[in-house]
Amino acid sequence: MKYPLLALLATAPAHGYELKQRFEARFAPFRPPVNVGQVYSTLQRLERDGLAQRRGVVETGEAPARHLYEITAAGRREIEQWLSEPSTGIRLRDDFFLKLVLAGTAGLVAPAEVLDRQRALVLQELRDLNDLLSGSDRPEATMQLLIDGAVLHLQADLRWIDLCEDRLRDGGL
Amino acid sequence: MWRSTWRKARADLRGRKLQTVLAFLVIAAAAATLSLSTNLRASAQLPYERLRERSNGADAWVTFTSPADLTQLRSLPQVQDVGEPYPVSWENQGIRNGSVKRQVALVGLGPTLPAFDHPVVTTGRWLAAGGGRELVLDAGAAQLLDLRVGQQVSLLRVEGPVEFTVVGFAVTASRAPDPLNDPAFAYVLPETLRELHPGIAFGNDQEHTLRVGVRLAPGVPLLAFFEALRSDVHGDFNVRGADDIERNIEEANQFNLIFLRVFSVFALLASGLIVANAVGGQVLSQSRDIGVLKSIGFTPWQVTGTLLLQNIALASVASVAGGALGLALAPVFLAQAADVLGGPASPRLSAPALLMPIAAVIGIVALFTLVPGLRAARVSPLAAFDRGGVTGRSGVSRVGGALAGLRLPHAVRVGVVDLTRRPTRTALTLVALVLAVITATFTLGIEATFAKTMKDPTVIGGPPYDLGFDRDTVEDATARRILADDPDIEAVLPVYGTAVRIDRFGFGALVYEGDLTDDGWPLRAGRMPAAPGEVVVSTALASRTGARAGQTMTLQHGASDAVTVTVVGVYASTEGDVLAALPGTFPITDPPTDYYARLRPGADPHAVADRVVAASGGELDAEVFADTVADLRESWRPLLIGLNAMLFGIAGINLTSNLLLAVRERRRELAILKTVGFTPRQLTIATVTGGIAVAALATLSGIPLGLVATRIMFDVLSSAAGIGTGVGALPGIGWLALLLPLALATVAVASAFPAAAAARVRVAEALRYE
Amino acid sequence: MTERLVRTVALAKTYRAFDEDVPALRGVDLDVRRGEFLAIMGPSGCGKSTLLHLLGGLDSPTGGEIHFDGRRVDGLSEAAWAMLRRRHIGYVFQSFNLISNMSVAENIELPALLAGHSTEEARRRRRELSRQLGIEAQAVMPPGRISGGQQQRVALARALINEPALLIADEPTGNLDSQSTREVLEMLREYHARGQTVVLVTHDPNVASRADRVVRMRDGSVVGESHLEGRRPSSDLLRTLVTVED
Repeated sequence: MKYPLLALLATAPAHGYELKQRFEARFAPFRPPVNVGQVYSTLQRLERDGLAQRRGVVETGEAPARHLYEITAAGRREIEQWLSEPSTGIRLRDDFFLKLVLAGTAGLVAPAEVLDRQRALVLQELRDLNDLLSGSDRPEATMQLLIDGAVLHLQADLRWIDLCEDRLRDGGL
Repeated sequence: MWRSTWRKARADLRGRKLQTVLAFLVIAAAAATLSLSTNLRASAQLPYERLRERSNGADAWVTFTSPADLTQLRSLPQVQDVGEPYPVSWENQGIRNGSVKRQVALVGLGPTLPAFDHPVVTTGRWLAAGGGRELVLDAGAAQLLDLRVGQQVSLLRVEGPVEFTVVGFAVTASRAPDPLNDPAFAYVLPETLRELHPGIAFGNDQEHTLRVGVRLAPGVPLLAFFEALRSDVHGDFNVRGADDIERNIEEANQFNLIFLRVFSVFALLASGLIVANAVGGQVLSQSRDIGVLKSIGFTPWQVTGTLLLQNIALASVASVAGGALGLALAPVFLAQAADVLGGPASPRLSAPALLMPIAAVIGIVALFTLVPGLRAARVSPLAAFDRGGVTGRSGVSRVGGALAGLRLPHAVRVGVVDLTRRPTRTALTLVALVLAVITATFTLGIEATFAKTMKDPTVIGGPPYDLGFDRDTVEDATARRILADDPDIEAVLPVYGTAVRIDRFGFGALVYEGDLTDDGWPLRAGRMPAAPGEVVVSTALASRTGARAGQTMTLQHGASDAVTVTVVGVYASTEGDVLAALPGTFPITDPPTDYYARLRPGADPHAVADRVVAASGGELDAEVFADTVADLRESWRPLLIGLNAMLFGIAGINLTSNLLLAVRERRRELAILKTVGFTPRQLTIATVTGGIAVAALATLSGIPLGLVATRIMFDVLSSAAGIGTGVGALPGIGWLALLLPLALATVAVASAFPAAAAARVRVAEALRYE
Repeated sequence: MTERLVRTVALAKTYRAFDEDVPALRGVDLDVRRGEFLAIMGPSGCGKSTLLHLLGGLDSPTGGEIHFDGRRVDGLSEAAWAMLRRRHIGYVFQSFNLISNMSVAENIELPALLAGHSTEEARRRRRELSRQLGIEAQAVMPPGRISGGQQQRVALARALINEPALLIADEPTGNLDSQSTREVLEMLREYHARGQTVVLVTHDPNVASRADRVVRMRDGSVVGESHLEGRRPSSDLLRTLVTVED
């Protein structure tokens, strides 16, 4: 949550509840509602690290009083640094990979079965995503982009599954 | 269901405009050629019969040379009708135009033609009342003399020339046209004839006769009439029968008829094959559509039905149009030959002659749509989609491999390999080209044969000599000396003419003073006389008297005793009822009337004729036999050339159509070649190379095939006509050698357009729509 | 009416090439339920297209059985197959295979006329389909002048005009861009939703995933199948897509 909050803070100072609202407005369809406590604890961590600071208290007449946070110069540098770095890391379905390898080793479940089930799942996910795209209530542009990305990932997954199957057949697993 | 078939057929005809137009042209031209040759054959085969219909002609003509009682003739049970007798003068008289002179017999006929047995005017008009210096001439003689209607001519008589205006040309059923029968008839008014022959009564002697046409009672043969005449009618006579005249004309035209027959058979085969080729190509080019049609539920029969419907629709229109064109052209061609054939120029319209070509063309189209159409309809839709694509033949790789070994440019190799990949299309193109080459070879062969026979006088039953001289008033010894002195004359044959009779039936006898056993006489049976007392009879006389080789005949000659002769042969003659013998057979006192001269090889007959005529002080008349024959046959030449040109044209259109279709079918592949880096120039080269390879192959196989075809057809048809084999002459090597570059150039040009189209193929389009 | 529209038993096809037998299909047992949307998937050369061709009678098997609507059809004559196709099977190809010299309208109406409908009925059906598929404006154009996506819609209209029991689609989107692919697939799904049985061959999982059932083939045999379910609530699905670290 560190970077998203910092990035949202960079647009304008805000207090915790406001940040939670901004976050949800941006990512609502594909994120569950954010716990406000989590926002405050993150803000406190940011303040501790000198990336954000309290500017004052907004009196609402109700307790507890709300602190208005703003980004510091160090915080701005930090978020710029984060945004300008490409994202690292190859994401795989590591859990499925572990199952596939271990199924063979443990001899409890046939690896082919693992592959079959995984393929069925991926196909189902593909279908679901495509359903979202082809439905009458088309998602907005950011969403479509995300779905397209996910579809491509799923296609890659399927090809990987096919490859695993080939290897399995050739006795490589 | 038929609606869907019709829709597709209609769409095909409309959608492939160029293809449809080309197919239309091929089919129409084929129908035109067939209709033309059928019409010509029908007209040429029975010209005489039609002439008899037109002239309401008699069955026999009796010429009386001594006073006779015509009532006896009329009362014969064999006779149904007798025409008005007319006077004929056989005196020595002729008409000259420039260097050509023809002997004529003057016929006296009134300004109103009789309903029964009258001459038919082919050009100009008949004699007018009071037209004392008007003359209507035999159409054959007019052609030989190169006369125009309205021209002034001199009638050359012993008493001196008389000026006449030629007002018309005519043919008659009673006599074959000049030179098939000479002298030629020249018609003048009866009063003119009397004026020219003062004090002479016609029907009293050999030179001044009365002639009458006779219609025989139904079923009476000429011979029966002849026998009745001999026994029951007083007076000396001779007889011509319609059958003899017809045979005379047919024999003379036998070669021309053979040309027509050869051409008709060849035209039928060639245009049939060409149409088959064109139609097969059309069907092949539609194989992809066939796949589509089948995938949406067309049955094989419906697919075939669609193809049939569209091709028959096209063929019906095209063949009717072509048939009409052929019919329209027929009189043009026929006019050339009419004079020679002794018939009118209008084509003989008969239902079979009209419908046969149309039916034949439609039949061929249907058959050759049905065969590949059924095959195409039987292949699975998948194969139909693939067809036109690269086939998985093992031969492909072999040819490709072999070519790869040669260091050929890529484009050339692609062009050649491409041919092996589309064996069916290549075969069709090859066949198209082979047909074109065969047609060309055949045309050359026909021309060579024609040239060979054109100047041979024996073809029409003339003597195997080059020149004929009419002695006229020259002394025999002088004439012989002049002829003997000419360095170019190799042999001279003096000819004596006399009249003989069997009872009162009179006919001509020719005596040839020389060796007749050398080759060249137009013998039909037996041999020529080798000793006095032996005779050959003309085919006409043979049929009249039933004379055959080995028989003996008793003849009366003049007032003297009977002479018995042995018939040793039958020969063709232009003189009608005649026999020929050696001196010593008949007692003859008069000197020869004619001299035939044979020239040394290479000598110019005209130069010799001029020299001899000059040496005689213009007294001897010369006839160059080759000219007479050439003139006769020249009229056939445009006809043959025209027919061959049409056939060649069809082959050309078909070839273009095939090359065009071949490139069209390859559109997609050409586009692929472009994507892999072929330049437009290379594509052009590839296309043209493919064409040239086919052309080379086609020429090399087409020439021998054409030669064999020419040979076989002439042999078969001329032996069927009783002339024997060996008539057909082969074209010269030089002409044949020209065919290869000609074929290559034709293909290069013909494939240039498709090649340019190939080079322009827009890759994206070609790949997108396929 | 049977529940199973198509059934194959040990269906086999062997081609002969270069004097060698090349098995393309080695005994395929396949059922297609009425109203089902079945995708056959596999790498190229796995025999999926061959299977499709056999189902439509475009090619004949060398072994096994094909049942269509409870009737055995593998031994049918070409003409009988043509009759079957014309009324009960619609075909859509990768390369459209429209008849280039007929207009769009004529292409679509052709099978209707073939099946014996009147010209008016054929026109009515064509108009209706053209409207549904959004190709009304192209009726008089030649197929060569319209885009690939439109051509495939024309092919779809032609395949559907006789309301066939089975629609066979052979890589129908293989020649199309992603937008046209999406549109054509959506139309296939729409007709499927109205009860159309569809058998589709593709190598593209994205296309296959539109089906109710995906059969996978390999080397001429069926090696597995997956049943797919209808759509899930969108929120659940989307929430799994992006993880945000705490």
